[in-house]
Amino acid sequence: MDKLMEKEVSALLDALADLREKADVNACFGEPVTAGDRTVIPVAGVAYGFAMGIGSEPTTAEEPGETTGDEVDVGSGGGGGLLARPLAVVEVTPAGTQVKGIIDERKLTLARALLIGWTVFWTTLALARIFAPKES
Amino acid sequence: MTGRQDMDKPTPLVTETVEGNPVRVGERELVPLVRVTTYARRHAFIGSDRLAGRGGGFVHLKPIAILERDAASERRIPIHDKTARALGVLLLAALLIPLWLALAVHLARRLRNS
Repeated sequence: MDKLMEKEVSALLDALADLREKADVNACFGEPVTAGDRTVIPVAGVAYGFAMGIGSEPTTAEEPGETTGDEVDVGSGGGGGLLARPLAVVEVTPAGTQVKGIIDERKLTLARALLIGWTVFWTTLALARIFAPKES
Repeated sequence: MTGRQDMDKPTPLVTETVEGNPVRVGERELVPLVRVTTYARRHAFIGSDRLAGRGGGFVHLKPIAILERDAASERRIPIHDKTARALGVLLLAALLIPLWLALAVHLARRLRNS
């Protein structure tokens, strides 16, 4: 069991050793789509992260005087996430190659709404201070 | 089991620009350029009666340009993140607005008191 656990831990550490080599840069560029004399290639930014852990320790006796022998408690867990965000579109025509950026209107609308609220708050505060009655 | 060993192996934050697989469109060859940022950390503890290992990391792939190559020339076309730029402008405005209003309050008070 101990040898098995050591192998598991080694495998965990080895999996992280060559993270750079495992990253595929071609994941950012999609398959070209051709329509007539125009070819379009989608471009996205990609990010992913993960964490994992594993451990073991001897089982502790629940009752005084109870023996656990060679029993071992083992625990493990892990998690990760992946994000792919469209950035632009590469358009290839006989006239030339252009990169057209993509704007996430939903994010911008939310950011603009927050900015308007922020501005209203600070403007109200400023006006209250300007027109506050003079202290005698 | 071996004696107590405690190993912590961080892989430093590495950023590099990498070329992707070229895409041929007609007489042109398009080569993607991607900025790759990676970080990983590994830790292991091997004790006389216990064992533990943990690790984690992240990878960020950001396309930065397209190299357009044909028989005669090579051209680098940058790829900009327009959404991030617009959000940056809005964030800058959010930081400057309280400063401007504080200055306006200060000037208004000086005018009122003079």
